[in-house]
Amino acid sequence: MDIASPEFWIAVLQIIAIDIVLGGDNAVVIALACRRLPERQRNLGIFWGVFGAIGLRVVLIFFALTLLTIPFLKIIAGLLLLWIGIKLLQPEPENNEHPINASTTLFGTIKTIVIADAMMSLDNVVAIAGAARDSIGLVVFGLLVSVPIIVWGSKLVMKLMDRFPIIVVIGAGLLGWIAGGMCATDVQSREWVNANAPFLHWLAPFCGALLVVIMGRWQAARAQAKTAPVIDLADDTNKPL
Amino acid sequence: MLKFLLAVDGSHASNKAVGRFIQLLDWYKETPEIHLLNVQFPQRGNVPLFIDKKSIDHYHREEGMRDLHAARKLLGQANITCHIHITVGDPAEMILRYAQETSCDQIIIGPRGLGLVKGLFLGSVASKVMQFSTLPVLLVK
Repeated sequence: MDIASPEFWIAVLQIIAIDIVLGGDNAVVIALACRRLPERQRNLGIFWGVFGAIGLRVVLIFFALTLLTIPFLKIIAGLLLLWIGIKLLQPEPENNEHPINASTTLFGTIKTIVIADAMMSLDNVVAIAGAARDSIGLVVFGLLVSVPIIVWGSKLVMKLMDRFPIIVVIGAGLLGWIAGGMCATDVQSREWVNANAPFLHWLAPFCGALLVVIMGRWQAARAQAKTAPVIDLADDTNKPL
Repeated sequence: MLKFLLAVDGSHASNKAVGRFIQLLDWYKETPEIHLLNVQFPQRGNVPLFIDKKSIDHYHREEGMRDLHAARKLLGQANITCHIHITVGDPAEMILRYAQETSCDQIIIGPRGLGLVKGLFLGSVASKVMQFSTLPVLLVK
């Protein structure tokens, strides 16, 4: 892609946005998982957790670009992105009693961090690869941008999304947009699209974005309708400080 | 006794409002029952997928206690007993719901002090509370 072309800069902006919406929570998960460990182990856990998150992204990106040339894999990746986008719009569930609980043991914490790193790195890498449109330079750029966000910026990024929830909606829509683009440019579908329906190059991303935002919003509204009571985490009278 | 909900977020503007409110307490015949409420933003995205509810709640409580600290100290210095509450959700919505469910007589809130431009775009918590509240709201400047 040419540096002077608008497509290049659009891709750059897309990659930065993806890193912001998908990078922040990885560091938060690591920090929360390590919280109950003793001080020394906690710092070690955070260090290796962050190291793993970045390392996994490097390794996965390396494979991703080759893998995406395999027929149908881009479509599968696109579907995965649609799901990630819808998931992004969901609120904190009321009860999430799941098997991966934050145990106080070092081993349990490591397990949580490894699984979380693997899954979130995959999310991030697939999205970057999709936005970079086969340009190695852009992929590397996406990787470089994600590092400071994970290491230093997670708290700021999460706060930004709390204050401006619209960022999350835009981010999710962007993932849908990229997903639609990926489905239209798969090795298998590309030729057919170019020959028969070139308009799909913009219609598919548009539909993808619309699908993610509408589905995500609808699911979130449904989940929220069920949660009625206000939960008080500190019902207490004041003790002198 | 009157029951007041005092919403605080630990920011400088909010703490200042608490201080001002303490000065205004002479208005009332007897010291009202004061409930301090802090609302934490929920965790989003993948976080609840990997971290169990108990740990997240624990984190919210710790952060909430930190946000409440200054307000509790101010009230303590003025010898006013208060009740403290922390909850999670959209700040304005939770303030309104909490006040309603615990049948408070008035909501007291400080402006966020973001300045005119930012305030316009953000639509501060205070203005949302004032707009949608069915209870009297006291905005302490």
